[in-house]
Amino acid sequence: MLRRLYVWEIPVRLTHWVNVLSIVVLSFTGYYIGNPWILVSAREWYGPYFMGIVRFTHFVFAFIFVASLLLRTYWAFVGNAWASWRNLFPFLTAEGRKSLGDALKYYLFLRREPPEVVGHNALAGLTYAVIVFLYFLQTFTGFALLGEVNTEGIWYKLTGWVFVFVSNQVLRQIHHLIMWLLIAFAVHHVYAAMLIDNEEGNGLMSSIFSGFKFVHASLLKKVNNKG
Amino acid sequence: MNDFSPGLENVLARQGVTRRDFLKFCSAMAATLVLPTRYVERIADALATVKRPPLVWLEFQDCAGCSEAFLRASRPSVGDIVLDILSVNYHETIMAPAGKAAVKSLDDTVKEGGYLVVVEGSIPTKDNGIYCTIGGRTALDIAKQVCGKAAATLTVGACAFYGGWPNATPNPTGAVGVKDAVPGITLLNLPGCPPNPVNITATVVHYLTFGSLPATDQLGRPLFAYGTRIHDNCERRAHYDAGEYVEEWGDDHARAGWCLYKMGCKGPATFHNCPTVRYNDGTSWPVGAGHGCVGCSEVAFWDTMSPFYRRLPNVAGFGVEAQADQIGLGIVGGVAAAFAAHGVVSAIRARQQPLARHESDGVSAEGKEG
Ligand code: SF4
Repeated sequence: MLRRLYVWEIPVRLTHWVNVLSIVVLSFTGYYIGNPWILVSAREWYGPYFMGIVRFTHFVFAFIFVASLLLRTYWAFVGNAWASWRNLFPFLTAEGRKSLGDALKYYLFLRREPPEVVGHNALAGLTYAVIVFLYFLQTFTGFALLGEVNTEGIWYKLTGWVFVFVSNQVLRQIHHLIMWLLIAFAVHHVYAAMLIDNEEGNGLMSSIFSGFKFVHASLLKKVNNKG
Repeated sequence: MNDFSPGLENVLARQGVTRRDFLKFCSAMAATLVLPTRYVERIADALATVKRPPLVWLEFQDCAGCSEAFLRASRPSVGDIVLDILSVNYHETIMAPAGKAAVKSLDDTVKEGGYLVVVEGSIPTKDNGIYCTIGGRTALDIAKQVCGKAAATLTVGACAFYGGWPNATPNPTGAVGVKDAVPGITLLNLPGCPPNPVNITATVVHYLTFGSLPATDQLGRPLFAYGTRIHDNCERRAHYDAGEYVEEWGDDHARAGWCLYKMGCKGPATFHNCPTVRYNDGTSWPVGAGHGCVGCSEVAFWDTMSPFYRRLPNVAGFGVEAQADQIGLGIVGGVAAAFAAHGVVSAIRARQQPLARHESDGVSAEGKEG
């Protein structure tokens, strides 16, 4: 029997969708800034300052994205067990390590049953650790490049030291590459969610809207005992 | 008005430089140093009365282009004024003495101390620095001795700054700049390929007027000259903000003077005052002449600012032409293809081999209740 269980709390869902929106907007505006492929007529109201508007949008969404990351980080410490930062490092516990191996085998077609979990499976958690690291790098390189424009500003004070070690062009290159890695991740992420939803019938896809997942009664009992 | 030293007045008058020219020069220097106009008088006073500091100009692995740029400085007769204020005791390219006499004037200057040294060119360090020797001594040896005892060292050009062209990958001679060759000395960097002579002169004027070197950024470049980005003072900036770019050399946009961003202009990545002071007596500068900035005043510009006609550097290890965006697109495509294949296999598996836990729930692979 499947039971309905409240897994993803509001901050988790909220930051997820704010991240989606910001990454989409940041990718499009960022790509335009790197390679302005649209030629707009100066007669349009946005024409005389088109690149300016695109850059402004990019910076605004960068701040929104950072706000979302900060909220999510906070929630990783005060939220429920499935929102916890511990999910990022499954290899720290014996149970996590086993789950990691099971998930890997499942994806490689070496095992039929996907590991039965309430939140993320261990492999997904580990992937998110990489993604969080990429988020950090992307934000850092972005703010360093923004800060360089005004060497008297706060962002330059915080990030300017990096230019002693790396040239700004190399930082730009890293910033571009990480965007593509995040897009590649999005492809993987949506695919994996669809796959697990299909296989397990646990309502994974709708859970990121509603917060509720469907889990087996036996698993629910285990969870309740722990709590 | 300030007292005008008869000494300097006479020297300059003999060369046809009037007091008016001299004050114009002082105003230009104050403007270059971003000082308020009241400093013009102070600069004039200082230059008229200062004791001529000895200067030696060392050339190592260089093309002498920085010397050329400096000698062509024509803003109110810099050649006349600064070269008369300074006593240039040693400069391989332009000095009169040769051979032993030349070496002796360098030795004498070093012995006396209190001199300024300008370094042009990179210093090879590989194989004990044998790739550049002068009078039987390596560049490294000379730099250590001469810069080590100097009151202050100015590096001119990209080569003396971080190694420049000789330092570009694969850097066969192990070329470095003065900062790495002789650490811990009083040093000011004036990078550029070549640097603007106006900035060299202004730095010397600052030193003579205030007795100290101008404030610098974290790479040791004076802020008056390297404090703002080219992109932020560029005359084509309005076209950048409007999204109006040259797409191809010689197209209509190029003729209309649009922004050179898509032609690989490195103005957004480069700190220099080229747009405001310009070169050759304020005649023009690269972007003004229709060619993008190549970022010559930044560290490792030959490696990180090239390809000069592209926005981003190439990615090492991916072939000559591969750029970050092409590689990124490839990664996304690869991931999508891999998961498409994975999806097909998973779908077949789900059909042939339903999950055990669904069986126990009485759900078939087709999802019908059993
Ligand atoms: S030409 Fe270069 S420096 Fe000038 S606005 Fe365009 S990108 Fe910036």
